[in-house]
Amino acid sequence: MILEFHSGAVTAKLESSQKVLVSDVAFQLKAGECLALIGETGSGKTMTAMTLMGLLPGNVSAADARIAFCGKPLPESRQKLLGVEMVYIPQNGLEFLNPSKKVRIHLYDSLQKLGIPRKQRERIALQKLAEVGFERPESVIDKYPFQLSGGMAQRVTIAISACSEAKLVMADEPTNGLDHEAKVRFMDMLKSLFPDAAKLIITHDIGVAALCDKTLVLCGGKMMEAGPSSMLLSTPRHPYTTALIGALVKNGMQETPALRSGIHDCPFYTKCTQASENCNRCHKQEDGREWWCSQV
Amino acid sequence: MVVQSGMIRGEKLKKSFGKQLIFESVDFTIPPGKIVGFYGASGIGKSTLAKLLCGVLQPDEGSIYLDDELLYSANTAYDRKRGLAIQMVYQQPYAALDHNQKIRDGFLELIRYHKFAPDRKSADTLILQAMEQVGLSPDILNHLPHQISGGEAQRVSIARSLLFHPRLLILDEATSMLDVSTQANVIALVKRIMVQNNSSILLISHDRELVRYLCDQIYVFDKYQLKETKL
Repeated sequence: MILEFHSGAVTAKLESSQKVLVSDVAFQLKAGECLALIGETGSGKTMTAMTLMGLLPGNVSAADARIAFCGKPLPESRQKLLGVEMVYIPQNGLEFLNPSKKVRIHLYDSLQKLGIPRKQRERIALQKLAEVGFERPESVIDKYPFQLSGGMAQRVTIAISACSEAKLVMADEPTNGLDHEAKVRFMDMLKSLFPDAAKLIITHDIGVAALCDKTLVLCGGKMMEAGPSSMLLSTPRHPYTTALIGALVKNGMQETPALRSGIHDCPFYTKCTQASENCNRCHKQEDGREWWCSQV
Repeated sequence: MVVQSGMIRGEKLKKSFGKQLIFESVDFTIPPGKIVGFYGASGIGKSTLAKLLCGVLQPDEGSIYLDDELLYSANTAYDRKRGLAIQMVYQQPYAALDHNQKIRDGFLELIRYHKFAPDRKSADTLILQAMEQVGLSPDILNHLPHQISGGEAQRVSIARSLLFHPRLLILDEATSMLDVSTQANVIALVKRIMVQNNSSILLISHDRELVRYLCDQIYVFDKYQLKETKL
């Protein structure tokens, strides 16, 4: 097992109160396995990844998180692991790259971390750029980030990630703004570049989740449903997953208006068509699937 | 051609950046109360054409007409006053908002500059109406952009555009950064408001399914030209 993750309660300190952002999100990832974290904006997807990387903002803490990486508890300081065994592909490649450094320097920095001798760095850097689809890598390696298009910058960030011995790859909304063919190409590239690494894909795109082995659905920082992507997306159990799938264009872009008010343990309670006064988030499982709803 | 009120028309438009031709001989019509789609791959010129409509870029050749009166051409300046009837919502929800300005202050600045309200009290009423129209809580007005979600930021951008009572609202990949349920809610909201007022929407997207599902009329870029088609 590459990763065993339990978030505990991730809490943000506000001016006069505290807010729980992520609560008891747990999952496991084996080598080569690909898990999609899906959910709407603010559902806690990125906070889960930040907890994993130990990069939470100053006012946010995950006091009781339990994370095991390759069978060992993850140390408090993850600087030595980040970029080597644990890599992160950001949402916006252009913002991620240092504007004052050429592509060459970005790649060399990662290769240096791996202890690759100076003489071999250029050859490996060009090879990695070719692997992410640059036909003429020598024309890209000396460019500054502002000379790259959004798509090129994203491929450069993937090439940087590939300059690693990654056992865990995290990608945050990596396919935003791409068309369907480009999304499929991206996922294929990820699988071929990191065949043995566990992959955590943070996305709001159900089409991308369908290309992953497993999917975990989050809402309001809580787990709603988890299971193999093919089953979960074709026959959703939780009303929230059903609503997400119903909002797809091919299903008529159904709206999810607020139906009732009130505070409930389930974050989808106010919009749920199946909620009742006595419903709760009880845990159910069947055929390798799990969901948290008493109504189904 | 029968000219309907609010109709927007482009004629023989051409635009290039240096030696790079983006499009030429582009003709299109956007009738009132309709959803028109511009579809095509990234970098093909969809947003450039939208920027011509807003007066952000000037065409090299050709003209744009609103209600059959010239709005902009290669040889004349953009008619800014009438051009306010065309508003645009961008892809990045936060890009349209000032990072250091609370949402309320952003609204107030806009209202003051365009003299939408005579005093602060009526400006506040106008802001609350706009927020209600897009289904946002007034609490958000006291927040900075980074304190609200992407969906909320996009609704704020839409609410600000709606203050102009636009005849054409351009959604330039405006929902591609949003999750599916927020996208469905935002699209339904814009459609309700705009079509109710007999105004039009120009949807710019590379999402084939979305364009096919929503649009009454679809244009596709093909070899530097815009062609009306069915997807």
